[in-house]
Amino acid sequence: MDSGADATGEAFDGMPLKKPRLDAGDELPPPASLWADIHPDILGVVLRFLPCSADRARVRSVCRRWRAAARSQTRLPPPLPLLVLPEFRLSCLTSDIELTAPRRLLMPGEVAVDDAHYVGSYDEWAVGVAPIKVCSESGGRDYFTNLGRECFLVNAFSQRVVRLPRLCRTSYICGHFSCKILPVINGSGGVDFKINGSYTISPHKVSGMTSWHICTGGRIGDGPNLLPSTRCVTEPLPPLPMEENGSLNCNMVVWRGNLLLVLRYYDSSFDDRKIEVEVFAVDFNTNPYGLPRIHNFDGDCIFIGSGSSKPFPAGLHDGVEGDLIYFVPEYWSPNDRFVYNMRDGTMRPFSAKLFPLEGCVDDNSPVWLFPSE
Amino acid sequence: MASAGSGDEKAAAAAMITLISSDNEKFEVTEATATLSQTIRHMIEDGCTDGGVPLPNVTSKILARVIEYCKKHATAAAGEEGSSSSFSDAAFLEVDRAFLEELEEFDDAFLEVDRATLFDLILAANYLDIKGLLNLTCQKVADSVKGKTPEQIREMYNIVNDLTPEEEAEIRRETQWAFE
Repeated sequence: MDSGADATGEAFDGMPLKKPRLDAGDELPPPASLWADIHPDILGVVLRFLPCSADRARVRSVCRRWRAAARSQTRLPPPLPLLVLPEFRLSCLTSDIELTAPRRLLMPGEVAVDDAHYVGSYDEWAVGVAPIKVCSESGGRDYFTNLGRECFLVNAFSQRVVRLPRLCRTSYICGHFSCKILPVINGSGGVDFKINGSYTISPHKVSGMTSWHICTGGRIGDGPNLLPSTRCVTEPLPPLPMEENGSLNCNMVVWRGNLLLVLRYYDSSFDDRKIEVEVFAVDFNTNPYGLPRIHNFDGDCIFIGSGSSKPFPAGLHDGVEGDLIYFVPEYWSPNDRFVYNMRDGTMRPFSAKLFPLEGCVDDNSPVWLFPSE
Repeated sequence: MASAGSGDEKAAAAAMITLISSDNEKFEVTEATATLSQTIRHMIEDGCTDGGVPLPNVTSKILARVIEYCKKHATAAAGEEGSSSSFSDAAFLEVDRAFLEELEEFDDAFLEVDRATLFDLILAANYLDIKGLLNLTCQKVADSVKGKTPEQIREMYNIVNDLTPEEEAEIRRETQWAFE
């Protein structure tokens, strides 16, 4: 063990030793321990070529030294995101734009597992919603109320659960037509989960500004509430590329300090629906704010999900394609499962096998999760 | 620095360096080939290469392979000779596409080695500070472990599992999604 460590140690001295090594036999294979004792920095170079978090996790669990070496790597680019599927099953994105077979995670007992679903994420934490369990005072069975739901954060690594304060306000018109305001996560303000009759809203916030949302016609409004009277602050969108009775789906994403508006236009046919994608970056220097179209993310990718749209620095990884937008099923676009290439406007299907039930996304839209290691 | 300061560019370009392996074999290479190694580049800059450069961590078998790699990649960089003395990644971009393809084929063939040789090449690339070779060899390792279980990786690389059952349980709990 020691000799192996010394050999790799020498390799990092920068200058050759005065004495040549006499026991250097070229014909012998390295003793069994040599790979285990490989220098942490070298293992770091290997890990840099492993963008899939499942691969990294498996390398970390080969042996003690590899585990310690992997842990000591602080400057690795973050791994590709994971996708949280219903029943807290996790799937990893691989560098060839596929998802690994989903694995169900053991859910902590504190929350109503069977009825929980996931609506958003923050780093390694998934934001879950579960019915509120009420203990029967008369000694009878516990029961669920239909008055509201509680939110919790669950860590995909530690399975730790943080229960959030009860929703400040929950208003059900019916099913998914709800408005939920959560005082969460990193202290930078509130996160709104809102779904109204027209558009989905991403729970993101541009620092130093009030919260933003999309109002009628795909324009962006400021202000905390989604009210008809909210003023729109952007110029009107260019004419829709589809015919009049088509539909529109909007997502907002914060990318490198820019507020992006990601639009999907659908034509009116039910079968073989045509989709077009356009992305605009809000220009705050004009009044009303301009909406210039953009055609690349400078090598980054954007992951769209109903509760967790986020950019990812794909350019930091060798062999991982950039300037893509990943769309997975959402309540308002249950059939969308494709990857859009910003540079040439092409689309390709994305992991169709994982989302086999067309139109059955319901409350259980998949959520992107962005671990740091 | 003394020789470079003479101003005789042709003489400098043709300068030969002697590399001496751990088993005392001598290899004559051009300065352009040798300076793909940052370690050797610094030694040349410090003027301490007279009488050859001893490389006590590298056997003749491995040094021969490393030189083969450097010669090929120095030729790629030579297209940019005169514009810059550093063979950066940017310089490679300018080189003819056909040659880049040839270089890729060379790299693929170069990596057709057993794991023991791969290990020695990684150590040599690291010690000699040849970034391209270190990336190439480490990527080979990375590609070989993609999609493999920890047990398969251990088998492949002859590694004994020394994790305690408690440690293993902890890892599995932390990264359940990564395991069967």
